[in-house]
Amino acid sequence: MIFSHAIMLLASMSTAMSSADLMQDITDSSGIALSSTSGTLPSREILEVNGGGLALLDYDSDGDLDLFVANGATLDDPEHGPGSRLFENISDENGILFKDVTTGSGIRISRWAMGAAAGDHDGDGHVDLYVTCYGPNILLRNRGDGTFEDATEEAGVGTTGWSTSAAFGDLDADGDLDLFVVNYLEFDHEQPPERSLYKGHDVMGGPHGLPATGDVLFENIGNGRFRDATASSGLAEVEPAYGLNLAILDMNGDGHLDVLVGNDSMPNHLLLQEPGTDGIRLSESGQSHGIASNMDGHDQATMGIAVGDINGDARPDVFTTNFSSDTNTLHLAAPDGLWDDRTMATGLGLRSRSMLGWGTACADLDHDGDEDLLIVNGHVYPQATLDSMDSEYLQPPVFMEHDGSRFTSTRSTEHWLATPHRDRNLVLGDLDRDGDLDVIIGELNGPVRILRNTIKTDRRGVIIGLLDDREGAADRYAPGARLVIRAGDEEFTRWIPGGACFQSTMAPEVHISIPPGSEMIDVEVSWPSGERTDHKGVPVSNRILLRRTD
Amino acid sequence: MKPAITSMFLLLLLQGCQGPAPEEASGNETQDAGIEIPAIDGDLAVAYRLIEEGDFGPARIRLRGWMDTHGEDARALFLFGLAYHSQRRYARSAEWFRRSLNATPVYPPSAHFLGWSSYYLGDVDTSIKAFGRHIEMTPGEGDSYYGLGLLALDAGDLEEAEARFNDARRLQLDQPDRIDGVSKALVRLAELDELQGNRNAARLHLEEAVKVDPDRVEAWHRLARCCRRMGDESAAVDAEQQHAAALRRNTPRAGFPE
Repeated sequence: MIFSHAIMLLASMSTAMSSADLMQDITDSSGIALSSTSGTLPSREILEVNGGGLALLDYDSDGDLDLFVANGATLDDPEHGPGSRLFENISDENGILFKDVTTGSGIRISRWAMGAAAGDHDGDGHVDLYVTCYGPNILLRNRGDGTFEDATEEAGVGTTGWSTSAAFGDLDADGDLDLFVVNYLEFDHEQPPERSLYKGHDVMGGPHGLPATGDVLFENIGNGRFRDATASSGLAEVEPAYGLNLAILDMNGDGHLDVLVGNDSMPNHLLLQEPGTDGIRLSESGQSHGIASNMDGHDQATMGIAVGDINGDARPDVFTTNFSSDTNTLHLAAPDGLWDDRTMATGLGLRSRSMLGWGTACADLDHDGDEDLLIVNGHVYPQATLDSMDSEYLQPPVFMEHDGSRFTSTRSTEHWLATPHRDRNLVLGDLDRDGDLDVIIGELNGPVRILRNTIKTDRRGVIIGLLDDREGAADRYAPGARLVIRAGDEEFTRWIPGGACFQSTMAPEVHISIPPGSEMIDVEVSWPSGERTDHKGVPVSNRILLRRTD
Repeated sequence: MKPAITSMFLLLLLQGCQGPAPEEASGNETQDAGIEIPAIDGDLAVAYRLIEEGDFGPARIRLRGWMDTHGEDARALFLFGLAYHSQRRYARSAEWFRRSLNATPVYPPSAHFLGWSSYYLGDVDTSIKAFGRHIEMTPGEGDSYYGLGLLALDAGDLEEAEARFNDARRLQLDQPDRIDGVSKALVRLAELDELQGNRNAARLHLEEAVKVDPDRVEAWHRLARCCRRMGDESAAVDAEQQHAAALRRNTPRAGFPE
């Protein structure tokens, strides 16, 4: 059978929640009062429909997760929107609380921002931000005093056009973070494309018919500077596609970081590092590895990517969200290094046909030991109704609970899952440091929502972060690392992916829930450099930071 | 946008094409459910031709005119639904198929297409009921068994899925106009083989699928993968080339996957 791991059996032993909601919407008391801008409603052009990404980062190095929100603008003036925002996490024992610290932070981005990648690009111990835009992207260097400065030109990471997502990762395993930028298509807001037809309805034009733009790779050459490695890495030879998102991790288990790019209505790219080459050399392997399209060879919209170990075999499985009247797709990694579309057999197919999915994540939100799926949804066409397009414009989030070898959506009556929205982006992290995963959702032209996890089971939630504390280490937080964690009789494999989700950056840490009575855990870390470290008998607490000092 | 159905397939449905009931089918036995399906003729035939040609608006106008004169009739209501179904507007089409069945509860094409419309909407319960109802009316209709097979697969009932795909294959095997139905069933049987770890059986099913219907694009795609995983690179490359050729032969898809 497909699923055989012991974790699946143990999952059913946890105490289930019954009456209370799993998540509580605490937006009103969170201190985040931001209604994002992405064009105007109703959306008229494709530029308006993506919404702005979210990034969780500890910008002030105080140990908790702060939030950056990429904010857009409007078609009449894409360079001058209300501006992206930075929120400091000031949560305490009374609950989750943020404070808008944009003013005074040096962040003055009024350009139409799309996404955000967080990473310490210059190895100074402070997390920087790379903001993708419609227009030139922007690198914000963290000065370490709570302020940022524009370092785009100095670092050599300027681009033009329309970028959606970006992520940092040490692709050449030289100890510093390289930067992969995903581009979408050629669009001119002053000469928007002709309108199109969908299910007999006049709708906004694109992406079909518009030229796709290729992705860009910047190799870190030290001292906070990069060189454009798009050509030398082979990326320039990859057919340009409508890129929306990416994940950087070791996809094939060879010890080198790879890049998975989700493309809109075109084959996804699996860019595997070619072994035995100096520097970064990427080989497009999506088709041959079965992950470029669904099992019938049909390209999908791939708005969101989530990576997790769905079937407990320690390999990276990939869940993608797609357009309405299509299904979301689950690709399970197989022992032979290929991926199999197992959407139908796991019950994830028909349930998703009426939804248009965006941000998504694999996460053990309900602390039963296995990875569930959280998906935020909303249609791109304002005129969408069930009657007109078989899908509503406003759609609720979907929580697919992992149940043995299949997924079910039994919590659909819970409040946080009952209200429809125009949701786009999603990040997960332990905002209140209590060991479980809280959720932040970005809605198109709507509020940023904060959902606090209220789970109470007999299993214990544990957050594990990494810190490469060696002298001179530049890639200190190790995006792309893989952790194998043993607690009692259970084993978990988790990744800290660079990117994933949609236009956003998740917290640079992993989360598991461990069985009752576990006092110690063992952790094996596969660092982005390909090296491994073993951490035996680590005492259990809500938050564990594994330092590498050797 | 081209209609999503083939005209010959629909004509067979409209004729209430009947073959052996699956549990009894072994040779030339047939089971006649005794249903007479009124012909689509006159203005209804004109409307049907318009749907075939992708002129959905004019088809609906003609159908409305016909119903103004003749009242609500299962055939006209079905064609109304078919126009929406062909546009892939399944919530609308399901509504008209339901109305057709309300007008004449034993009008098989409406039950069959209600099954598919509901399937595409993700409405599992309605889809199962509609396919089941269609099979009650025309026990020899293989495509409804195929639909039930997909629903069983989605529910994780692999045994039931295998039985229904085998029904679909057997019931359409001797019908030259249903080679696509046979091929589709074979592709899904191969999927079940793969789920059960039997790659040899999957390859045989896929090879049979492309032999029956060389235009079955997804069968070539899956066959290429299967061959590659079995270490037969030359067969994989050949299947990839055939896949590309089949794609070229077939009308490009409308842009959104269905």
